[in-house]
Amino acid sequence: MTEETYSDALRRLEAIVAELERGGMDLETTLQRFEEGSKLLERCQNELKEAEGRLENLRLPDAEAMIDEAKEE
Amino acid sequence: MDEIEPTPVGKFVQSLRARLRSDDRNQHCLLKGEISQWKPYASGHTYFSLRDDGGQISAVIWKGRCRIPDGIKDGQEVLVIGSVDLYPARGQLQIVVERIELIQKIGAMEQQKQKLLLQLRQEGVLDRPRKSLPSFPKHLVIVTGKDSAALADMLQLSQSRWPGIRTTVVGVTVQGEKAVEEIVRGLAVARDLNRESIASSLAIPPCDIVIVGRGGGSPEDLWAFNLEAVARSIAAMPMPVISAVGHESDILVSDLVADVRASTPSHAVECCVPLVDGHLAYLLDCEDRMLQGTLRQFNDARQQLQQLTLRLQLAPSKGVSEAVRHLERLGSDLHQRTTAALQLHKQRLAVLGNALQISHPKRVLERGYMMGVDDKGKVISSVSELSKGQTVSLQFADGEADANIDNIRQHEEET
Repeated sequence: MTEETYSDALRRLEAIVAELERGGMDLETTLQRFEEGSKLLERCQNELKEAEGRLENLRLPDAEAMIDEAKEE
Repeated sequence: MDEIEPTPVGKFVQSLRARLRSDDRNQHCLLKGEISQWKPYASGHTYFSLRDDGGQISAVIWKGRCRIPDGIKDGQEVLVIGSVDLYPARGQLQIVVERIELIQKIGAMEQQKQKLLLQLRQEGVLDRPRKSLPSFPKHLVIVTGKDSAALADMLQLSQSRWPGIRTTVVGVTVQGEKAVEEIVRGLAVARDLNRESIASSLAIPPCDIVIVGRGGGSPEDLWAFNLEAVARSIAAMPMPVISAVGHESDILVSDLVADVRASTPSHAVECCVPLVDGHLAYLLDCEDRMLQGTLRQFNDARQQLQQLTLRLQLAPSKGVSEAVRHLERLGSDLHQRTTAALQLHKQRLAVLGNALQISHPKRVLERGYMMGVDDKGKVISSVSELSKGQTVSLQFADGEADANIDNIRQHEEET
Protein backbone atom coordinates (compact mmCIF):
# COMPACT_ATOMS: atom_id res chain seq x y z
CA MET A 1 0.00 0.00 0.00
CA THR A 2 1.55 3.23 -1.07
CA GLU A 3 0.24 6.14 0.97
CA GLU A 4 -2.28 4.52 3.24
CA THR A 5 -1.10 1.86 5.63
CA TYR A 6 -3.02 -1.34 6.05
CA SER A 7 -4.47 -0.19 9.35
CA ASP A 8 -5.64 3.12 7.85
CA ALA A 9 -7.37 1.24 5.05
CA LEU A 10 -8.88 -1.21 7.52
CA ARG A 11 -10.16 1.60 9.76
CA ARG A 12 -11.82 3.31 6.79
CA LEU A 13 -13.29 -0.03 5.69
CA GLU A 14 -14.69 -0.65 9.17
CA ALA A 15 -16.25 2.83 9.18
CA ILE A 16 -17.90 2.11 5.83
CA VAL A 17 -19.19 -1.25 7.00
CA ALA A 18 -20.68 0.41 10.10
CA GLU A 19 -22.26 3.12 7.95
CA LEU A 20 -23.78 0.60 5.58
CA GLU A 21 -25.06 -1.51 8.45
CA ARG A 22 -26.59 1.56 10.08
CA GLY A 23 -28.38 2.39 6.83
CA GLY A 24 -30.47 5.45 6.17
CA MET A 25 -28.39 6.72 3.25
CA ASP A 26 -29.73 7.39 -0.19
CA LEU A 27 -29.00 4.77 -2.81
CA GLU A 28 -26.38 6.78 -4.60
CA THR A 29 -24.33 7.30 -1.42
CA THR A 30 -24.85 3.64 -0.55
CA LEU A 31 -23.41 2.63 -3.90
CA GLN A 32 -20.50 5.03 -3.54
CA ARG A 33 -19.67 3.65 -0.10
CA PHE A 34 -19.99 0.10 -1.34
CA GLU A 35 -17.60 0.76 -4.19
CA GLU A 36 -15.10 2.50 -1.93
CA GLY A 37 -15.35 -0.34 0.58
CA SER A 38 -14.85 -2.96 -2.12
CA LYS A 39 -11.67 -1.24 -3.27
CA LEU A 40 -10.32 -0.96 0.27
CA LEU A 41 -11.17 -4.60 0.88
CA GLU A 42 -9.33 -5.70 -2.22
CA ARG A 43 -6.29 -3.63 -1.26
CA CYS A 44 -6.22 -5.10 2.23
CA GLN A 45 -6.57 -8.64 0.93
CA ASN A 46 -3.82 -8.09 -1.60
CA GLU A 47 -1.59 -6.61 1.07
CA LEU A 48 -1.92 -9.81 3.08
CA LYS A 49 -1.82 -12.32 0.27
CA GLU A 50 0.77 -10.80 -2.02
CA ALA A 51 3.33 -9.70 0.55
CA GLU A 52 6.52 -11.60 -0.14
CA GLY A 53 8.20 -12.26 3.16
CA ARG A 54 11.95 -11.87 3.03
CA LEU A 55 14.26 -13.09 5.73
CA GLU A 56 17.75 -11.72 6.22
CA ASN A 57 19.50 -13.77 8.87
CA LEU A 58 22.68 -11.80 9.59
CA ARG A 59 25.40 -11.94 12.17
CA LEU A 60 26.09 -8.64 13.89
CA PRO A 61 29.21 -7.71 11.86
CA ASP A 62 27.41 -8.45 8.58
CA ALA A 63 24.41 -6.41 9.66
CA GLU A 64 26.67 -3.52 10.59
CA ALA A 65 28.50 -3.78 7.27
CA MET A 66 25.16 -3.63 5.45
CA ILE A 67 24.23 -0.46 7.35
CA ASP A 68 27.62 1.14 6.70
CA GLU A 69 27.27 0.44 3.00
CA ALA A 70 23.81 1.99 2.97
CA LYS A 71 25.08 5.04 4.81
CA GLU A 72 27.80 5.58 2.23
CA GLU A 73 25.36 5.65 -0.66
CA MET B 1 27.83 -74.36 57.76
CA ASP B 2 27.53 -73.12 54.23
CA GLU B 3 30.46 -71.31 52.85
CA ILE B 4 29.55 -67.73 51.86
CA GLU B 5 30.78 -66.82 48.43
CA PRO B 6 32.80 -63.55 48.68
CA THR B 7 31.75 -60.65 46.45
CA PRO B 8 34.49 -59.12 44.37
CA VAL B 9 34.89 -55.52 45.58
CA GLY B 10 34.49 -54.10 42.10
CA LYS B 11 31.15 -55.86 41.71
CA PHE B 12 30.18 -54.66 45.19
CA VAL B 13 31.03 -51.05 44.38
CA GLN B 14 29.15 -51.27 41.07
CA SER B 15 26.05 -52.63 42.74
CA LEU B 16 26.29 -49.97 45.45
CA ARG B 17 26.55 -47.34 42.73
CA ALA B 18 23.49 -48.71 40.95
CA ARG B 19 21.49 -48.62 44.18
CA LEU B 20 22.59 -45.01 44.87
CA ARG B 21 21.69 -43.88 41.41
CA SER B 22 18.33 -45.59 41.37
CA ASP B 23 17.11 -43.59 44.35
CA ASP B 24 15.32 -40.42 43.20
CA ARG B 25 16.29 -38.69 46.42
CA ASN B 26 19.89 -38.71 45.20
CA GLN B 27 19.01 -37.03 41.92
CA HIS B 28 19.06 -33.27 41.23
CA CYS B 29 19.69 -32.25 44.84
CA LEU B 30 19.87 -28.53 45.61
CA LEU B 31 22.84 -27.91 47.93
CA LYS B 32 24.39 -24.87 49.52
CA GLY B 33 28.02 -24.76 50.66
CA GLU B 34 31.47 -23.29 50.38
CA ILE B 35 33.98 -24.19 47.70
CA SER B 36 37.28 -25.72 48.71
CA GLN B 37 40.09 -27.30 46.70
CA TRP B 38 38.77 -25.85 43.42
CA LYS B 39 40.78 -27.63 40.70
CA PRO B 40 40.14 -27.24 36.98
CA TYR B 41 41.98 -29.98 35.05
CA ALA B 42 43.47 -29.80 31.59
CA SER B 43 40.93 -32.44 30.50
CA GLY B 44 38.21 -29.79 31.00
CA HIS B 45 36.70 -31.42 34.07
CA THR B 46 36.72 -29.49 37.35
CA TYR B 47 36.98 -31.07 40.81
CA PHE B 48 36.26 -29.42 44.15
CA SER B 49 34.74 -30.05 47.55
CA LEU B 50 31.52 -28.58 48.76
CA ARG B 51 31.68 -28.02 52.52
CA ASP B 52 30.24 -26.24 55.50
CA ASP B 53 30.78 -26.58 59.24
CA GLY B 54 28.66 -29.76 59.35
CA GLY B 55 30.46 -31.78 56.66
CA GLN B 56 31.73 -32.00 53.11
CA ILE B 57 31.40 -33.96 49.87
CA SER B 58 33.49 -34.17 46.71
CA ALA B 59 32.05 -32.66 43.58
CA VAL B 60 32.83 -32.81 39.87
CA ILE B 61 31.82 -30.63 36.95
CA TRP B 62 32.20 -32.66 33.77
CA LYS B 63 33.60 -30.76 30.85
CA GLY B 64 30.94 -28.57 29.22
CA ARG B 65 28.18 -30.02 31.40
CA CYS B 66 27.36 -26.68 32.99
CA ARG B 67 28.46 -23.08 32.85
CA ILE B 68 31.03 -22.12 35.47
CA PRO B 69 30.59 -18.61 36.93
CA ASP B 70 33.42 -16.21 36.18
CA GLY B 71 35.99 -15.70 38.95
CA ILE B 72 34.96 -18.66 41.07
CA LYS B 73 37.45 -19.54 43.81
CA ASP B 74 37.88 -21.29 47.15
CA GLY B 75 35.89 -19.96 50.05
CA GLN B 76 33.00 -18.67 47.96
CA GLU B 77 29.45 -19.66 48.85
CA VAL B 78 27.65 -21.42 46.02
CA LEU B 79 24.34 -23.02 45.19
CA VAL B 80 24.75 -26.35 43.45
CA ILE B 81 22.27 -28.59 41.72
CA GLY B 82 23.67 -32.08 41.29
CA SER B 83 23.17 -35.83 41.58
CA VAL B 84 24.91 -38.27 43.91
CA ASP B 85 27.27 -40.76 42.33
CA LEU B 86 29.95 -43.19 43.40
CA TYR B 87 33.28 -43.04 41.60
CA PRO B 88 34.04 -46.78 41.39
CA ALA B 89 37.76 -46.48 40.77
CA ARG B 90 38.30 -44.87 44.15
CA GLY B 91 35.08 -45.79 45.88
CA GLN B 92 34.48 -42.13 46.39
CA LEU B 93 31.07 -40.58 46.90
CA GLN B 94 30.66 -37.41 44.87
CA ILE B 95 28.20 -34.87 43.53
CA VAL B 96 28.03 -34.60 39.76
CA VAL B 97 27.24 -30.92 39.32
CA GLU B 98 24.50 -29.89 36.88
CA ARG B 99 24.41 -26.22 37.80
CA ILE B 100 26.46 -23.95 40.01
CA GLU B 101 25.81 -20.32 40.99
CA LEU B 102 27.72 -17.94 43.24
CA ILE B 103 25.45 -16.85 46.07
CA GLN B 104 27.33 -13.63 46.75
CA LYS B 105 27.33 -12.67 43.12
CA ILE B 106 23.62 -13.25 42.75
CA GLY B 107 23.04 -11.00 45.75
CA ALA B 108 25.38 -8.35 44.41
CA MET B 109 23.79 -8.46 40.97
CA GLU B 110 20.31 -8.21 42.43
CA GLN B 111 21.40 -5.11 44.38
CA GLN B 112 22.82 -3.61 41.21
CA LYS B 113 19.58 -4.32 39.36
CA GLN B 114 17.45 -2.66 42.05
CA LYS B 115 19.73 0.37 42.05
CA LEU B 116 19.42 0.72 38.28
CA LEU B 117 15.62 0.37 38.42
CA LEU B 118 15.45 3.07 41.08
CA GLN B 119 17.52 5.39 38.94
CA LEU B 120 15.49 4.71 35.79
CA ARG B 121 12.29 5.31 37.74
CA GLN B 122 13.61 8.63 39.05
CA GLU B 123 14.51 9.67 35.52
CA GLY B 124 11.01 8.79 34.35
CA VAL B 125 12.26 6.10 31.96
CA LEU B 126 10.05 3.42 33.49
CA ASP B 127 6.94 5.60 33.50
CA ARG B 128 7.33 7.11 30.04
CA PRO B 129 4.44 6.55 27.63
CA ARG B 130 4.85 3.36 25.64
CA LYS B 131 4.67 3.13 21.87
CA SER B 132 1.89 0.94 20.54
CA LEU B 133 2.65 -1.93 18.19
CA PRO B 134 1.76 -1.57 14.52
CA SER B 135 -1.12 -3.89 13.64
CA PHE B 136 0.67 -4.82 10.43
CA PRO B 137 4.43 -4.38 10.83
CA LYS B 138 6.31 -3.90 7.58
CA HIS B 139 9.72 -4.85 8.83
CA LEU B 140 10.54 -6.84 11.95
CA VAL B 141 14.08 -6.79 13.34
CA ILE B 142 15.03 -9.51 15.81
CA VAL B 143 18.10 -8.99 17.97
CA THR B 144 18.91 -12.30 19.61
CA GLY B 145 21.42 -15.11 19.95
CA LYS B 146 22.71 -16.18 16.57
CA ASP B 147 21.62 -19.70 15.61
CA SER B 148 19.78 -20.04 18.94
CA ALA B 149 16.81 -22.30 19.57
CA ALA B 150 14.85 -19.21 20.59
CA LEU B 151 15.50 -17.69 17.15
CA ALA B 152 14.48 -20.88 15.35
CA ASP B 153 11.23 -20.94 17.36
CA MET B 154 10.51 -17.31 16.58
CA LEU B 155 11.14 -17.66 12.85
CA GLN B 156 9.04 -20.78 12.60
CA LEU B 157 6.14 -19.24 14.47
CA SER B 158 6.38 -16.01 12.50
CA GLN B 159 6.33 -17.93 9.22
CA SER B 160 3.22 -19.85 10.25
CA ARG B 161 1.41 -16.67 11.31
CA TRP B 162 2.24 -14.47 8.34
CA PRO B 163 4.68 -15.68 5.67
CA GLY B 164 4.52 -12.19 4.15
CA ILE B 165 6.40 -10.39 6.92
CA ARG B 166 9.87 -9.03 6.18
CA THR B 167 12.34 -9.98 8.90
CA THR B 168 15.93 -9.05 9.59
CA VAL B 169 17.73 -11.06 12.23
CA VAL B 170 20.76 -9.51 13.90
CA GLY B 171 22.57 -12.41 15.56
CA VAL B 172 24.45 -11.30 18.66
CA THR B 173 26.08 -12.84 21.72
CA VAL B 174 23.51 -12.82 24.48
CA GLN B 175 25.54 -13.99 27.47
CA GLY B 176 29.04 -13.56 28.83
CA GLU B 177 31.31 -10.58 28.73
CA LYS B 178 30.56 -9.46 25.18
CA ALA B 179 26.79 -9.72 25.51
CA VAL B 180 25.97 -6.17 26.61
CA GLU B 181 28.09 -4.55 23.94
CA GLU B 182 26.72 -6.77 21.16
CA ILE B 183 23.09 -6.35 22.18
CA VAL B 184 23.55 -2.58 22.20
CA ARG B 185 25.18 -2.72 18.75
CA GLY B 186 22.38 -4.98 17.50
CA LEU B 187 19.81 -2.47 18.68
CA ALA B 188 21.78 0.26 16.91
CA VAL B 189 21.46 -1.70 13.65
CA ALA B 190 17.69 -1.89 14.18
CA ARG B 191 17.59 1.87 14.85
CA ASP B 192 19.50 2.52 11.62
CA LEU B 193 17.11 0.25 9.71
CA ASN B 194 14.32 2.49 10.97
CA ARG B 195 15.88 5.51 9.24
CA GLU B 196 14.13 6.45 6.04
CA SER B 197 17.37 7.20 4.15
CA ILE B 198 18.98 3.86 5.01
CA ALA B 199 15.81 1.86 4.37
CA SER B 200 15.34 3.48 0.96
CA SER B 201 18.96 2.96 -0.03
CA LEU B 202 18.54 -0.71 0.88
CA ALA B 203 15.17 -0.69 -0.93
CA ILE B 204 13.37 -2.13 2.08
CA PRO B 205 10.60 -0.79 4.29
CA PRO B 206 11.91 0.90 7.44
CA CYS B 207 12.03 -1.28 10.52
CA ASP B 208 8.90 -0.59 12.55
CA ILE B 209 9.15 -3.23 15.29
CA VAL B 210 12.03 -4.80 17.22
CA ILE B 211 12.20 -7.94 19.30
CA VAL B 212 15.19 -8.15 21.61
CA GLY B 213 15.69 -11.22 23.75
CA ARG B 214 16.89 -14.74 24.23
CA GLY B 215 15.75 -18.10 25.55
CA GLY B 216 15.81 -19.15 29.17
CA GLY B 217 18.93 -19.61 31.26
CA SER B 218 20.40 -19.01 34.68
CA PRO B 219 20.10 -15.51 36.19
CA GLU B 220 23.71 -14.94 35.20
CA ASP B 221 22.98 -16.01 31.61
CA LEU B 222 20.22 -13.46 31.37
CA TRP B 223 22.14 -10.76 33.18
CA ALA B 224 23.03 -8.58 30.21
CA PHE B 225 19.32 -7.71 29.97
CA ASN B 226 19.52 -6.26 33.47
CA LEU B 227 22.28 -3.82 32.66
CA GLU B 228 22.10 -0.10 32.12
CA ALA B 229 23.52 0.11 28.60
CA VAL B 230 20.94 -2.34 27.22
CA ALA B 231 18.10 -0.72 29.17
CA ARG B 232 18.99 2.76 27.88
CA SER B 233 19.35 1.54 24.28
CA ILE B 234 15.89 -0.02 24.44
CA ALA B 235 14.34 3.10 25.98
CA ALA B 236 15.89 5.31 23.28
CA MET B 237 14.56 3.33 20.31
CA PRO B 238 12.34 5.35 17.96
CA MET B 239 10.09 2.35 17.19
CA PRO B 240 8.32 -0.04 19.56
CA VAL B 241 10.53 -2.67 21.20
CA ILE B 242 9.38 -5.99 22.62
CA SER B 243 11.59 -7.47 25.33
CA ALA B 244 11.47 -11.26 25.30
CA VAL B 245 13.94 -12.79 27.70
CA GLY B 246 13.89 -16.26 29.17
CA HIS B 247 10.83 -17.82 30.69
CA GLU B 248 7.55 -16.62 32.11
CA SER B 249 8.99 -15.91 35.56
CA ASP B 250 12.13 -14.01 34.60
CA ILE B 251 11.52 -10.28 34.86
CA LEU B 252 14.46 -8.19 33.83
CA VAL B 253 15.20 -4.50 33.50
CA SER B 254 14.81 -4.79 29.71
CA ASP B 255 11.25 -6.06 30.27
CA LEU B 256 10.48 -3.02 32.38
CA VAL B 257 11.82 -0.42 29.95
CA ALA B 258 10.58 -1.98 26.68
CA ASP B 259 7.27 -0.96 25.12
CA VAL B 260 5.96 -4.50 25.48
CA ARG B 261 7.15 -7.32 27.71
CA ALA B 262 6.72 -10.76 26.22
CA SER B 263 7.00 -13.73 28.54
CA THR B 264 8.99 -15.76 26.01
CA PRO B 265 10.52 -15.17 22.55
CA SER B 266 7.61 -17.04 20.94
CA HIS B 267 5.17 -14.86 22.81
CA ALA B 268 6.94 -11.82 21.35
CA VAL B 269 6.18 -13.10 17.85
CA GLU B 270 2.56 -13.65 18.84
CA CYS B 271 2.45 -10.04 20.03
CA CYS B 272 3.62 -8.46 16.82
CA VAL B 273 3.25 -10.81 13.85
CA PRO B 274 -0.39 -10.78 12.77
CA LEU B 275 -2.21 -14.04 12.28
CA VAL B 276 -2.90 -13.57 8.60
CA ASP B 277 -5.65 -16.20 8.43
CA GLY B 278 -7.50 -14.39 11.18
CA HIS B 279 -7.17 -11.10 9.31
CA LEU B 280 -8.31 -12.65 6.05
CA ALA B 281 -11.30 -14.13 7.86
CA TYR B 282 -12.02 -10.74 9.39
CA LEU B 283 -11.83 -9.11 5.95
CA LEU B 284 -14.26 -11.71 4.60
CA ASP B 285 -16.58 -10.88 7.47
CA CYS B 286 -16.28 -7.18 6.61
CA GLU B 287 -17.10 -7.99 3.01
CA ASP B 288 -20.15 -9.98 4.05
CA ARG B 289 -21.39 -7.26 6.38
CA MET B 290 -20.81 -4.61 3.72
CA LEU B 291 -22.76 -6.63 1.18
CA GLN B 292 -25.61 -7.33 3.61
CA GLY B 293 -25.75 -3.66 4.60
CA THR B 294 -25.91 -2.56 0.99
CA LEU B 295 -28.52 -5.16 0.08
CA ARG B 296 -30.60 -4.08 3.06
CA GLN B 297 -30.44 -0.49 1.86
CA PHE B 298 -31.66 -1.60 -1.53
CA ASN B 299 -34.34 -3.79 -0.03
CA ASP B 300 -35.47 -0.90 2.13
CA ALA B 301 -35.63 1.27 -0.94
CA ARG B 302 -37.56 -1.42 -2.80
CA GLN B 303 -40.00 -1.77 0.05
CA GLN B 304 -40.45 1.97 0.11
CA LEU B 305 -41.14 1.86 -3.59
CA GLN B 306 -43.61 -0.96 -3.10
CA GLN B 307 -45.36 1.01 -0.42
CA LEU B 308 -45.53 4.04 -2.68
CA THR B 309 -46.90 1.93 -5.49
CA LEU B 310 -49.43 0.48 -3.11
CA ARG B 311 -50.43 3.95 -2.02
CA LEU B 312 -50.70 5.04 -5.63
CA GLN B 313 -52.87 2.06 -6.38
CA LEU B 314 -54.83 2.81 -3.28
CA ALA B 315 -55.41 6.46 -4.17
CA PRO B 316 -57.75 5.87 -7.19
CA SER B 317 -59.48 2.96 -5.54
CA LYS B 318 -60.20 5.29 -2.72
CA GLY B 319 -61.96 7.47 -5.35
CA VAL B 320 -63.74 4.45 -6.64
CA SER B 321 -64.97 3.43 -3.28
CA GLU B 322 -66.24 6.93 -2.78
CA ALA B 323 -67.88 6.69 -6.10
CA VAL B 324 -69.33 3.39 -5.00
CA ARG B 325 -70.57 4.98 -1.84
CA HIS B 326 -71.97 7.79 -3.94
CA LEU B 327 -73.57 5.24 -6.20
CA GLU B 328 -74.88 3.38 -3.23
CA ARG B 329 -76.28 6.60 -1.90
CA LEU B 330 -77.72 7.29 -5.30
CA GLY B 331 -78.99 3.76 -5.49
CA SER B 332 -80.80 3.94 -2.21
CA ASP B 333 -82.15 7.33 -3.23
CA LEU B 334 -83.31 5.84 -6.44
CA HIS B 335 -84.91 2.96 -4.62
CA GLN B 336 -86.68 5.27 -2.29
CA ARG B 337 -87.78 7.50 -5.07
CA THR B 338 -88.83 4.57 -7.23
CA THR B 339 -90.79 3.09 -4.38
CA ALA B 340 -92.45 6.45 -3.84
CA ALA B 341 -93.14 6.74 -7.54
CA LEU B 342 -94.56 3.26 -7.67
CA GLN B 343 -96.69 4.02 -4.65
CA LEU B 344 -97.99 7.10 -6.40
CA HIS B 345 -98.52 5.09 -9.48
CA LYS B 346 -100.50 2.48 -7.56
CA GLN B 347 -102.63 5.15 -6.00
CA ARG B 348 -103.24 6.61 -9.40
CA LEU B 349 -104.12 3.20 -10.73
CA ALA B 350 -106.52 2.74 -7.86
CA VAL B 351 -108.15 6.04 -8.66
CA LEU B 352 -108.26 5.08 -12.30
CA GLY B 353 -109.72 1.73 -11.34
CA ASN B 354 -112.48 3.44 -9.43
CA ALA B 355 -113.09 5.70 -12.36
CA LEU B 356 -113.23 2.71 -14.62
CA GLN B 357 -115.60 0.97 -12.34
CA ILE B 358 -117.72 4.03 -12.30
CA SER B 359 -117.76 4.19 -16.10
CA HIS B 360 -118.50 0.44 -16.54
CA PRO B 361 -121.57 0.00 -18.91
CA LYS B 362 -123.43 -2.02 -16.29
CA ARG B 363 -123.30 0.94 -13.94
CA VAL B 364 -124.88 2.94 -16.81
CA LEU B 365 -127.52 0.28 -17.33
CA GLU B 366 -128.25 0.36 -13.64
CA ARG B 367 -129.22 3.97 -14.11
CA GLY B 368 -132.09 2.87 -16.56
CA TYR B 369 -130.21 2.67 -19.85
CA MET B 370 -129.98 -0.44 -22.05
CA MET B 371 -127.43 -1.63 -24.62
CA GLY B 372 -128.19 -3.19 -28.00
CA VAL B 373 -125.87 -6.02 -29.04
CA ASP B 374 -126.02 -7.81 -32.44
CA ASP B 375 -125.92 -11.53 -32.82
CA LYS B 376 -122.12 -11.45 -32.71
CA GLY B 377 -122.10 -9.72 -29.32
CA LYS B 378 -121.05 -6.40 -30.78
CA VAL B 379 -122.47 -3.33 -29.20
CA ILE B 380 -124.64 -1.45 -31.68
CA SER B 381 -123.83 2.20 -31.38
CA SER B 382 -125.52 3.48 -34.63
CA VAL B 383 -128.88 2.85 -36.38
CA SER B 384 -126.91 2.43 -39.55
CA GLU B 385 -125.67 -0.88 -38.25
CA LEU B 386 -129.28 -2.13 -38.11
CA SER B 387 -131.43 -3.60 -40.85
CA LYS B 388 -135.21 -4.18 -40.91
CA GLY B 389 -136.33 -7.49 -39.43
CA GLN B 390 -132.97 -7.94 -37.62
CA THR B 391 -133.06 -9.44 -34.16
CA VAL B 392 -130.93 -7.67 -31.60
CA SER B 393 -130.32 -8.41 -27.99
CA LEU B 394 -131.28 -5.66 -25.55
CA GLN B 395 -129.16 -5.88 -22.46
CA PHE B 396 -130.47 -4.48 -19.18
CA ALA B 397 -128.64 -4.35 -15.90
CA ASP B 398 -130.47 -7.40 -14.59
CA GLY B 399 -131.03 -9.41 -17.83
CA GLU B 400 -131.64 -9.28 -21.59
CA ALA B 401 -134.36 -9.46 -24.12
CA ASP B 402 -134.54 -10.07 -27.93
CA ALA B 403 -136.23 -7.56 -30.12
CA ASN B 404 -137.11 -7.29 -33.88
CA ILE B 405 -136.30 -4.13 -35.72
CA ASP B 406 -139.48 -2.73 -37.52
CA ASN B 407 -138.65 0.79 -38.53
CA ILE B 408 -135.34 2.48 -38.85
CA ARG B 409 -135.16 6.24 -38.49
CA GLN B 410 -131.84 7.86 -38.81
CA HIS B 411 -131.43 11.49 -37.56
CA GLU B 412 -130.22 13.92 -40.09
CA GLU B 413 -126.68 14.92 -39.62
CA GLU B 414 -126.19 18.24 -37.93
CA THR B 415 -123.97 20.61 -39.77
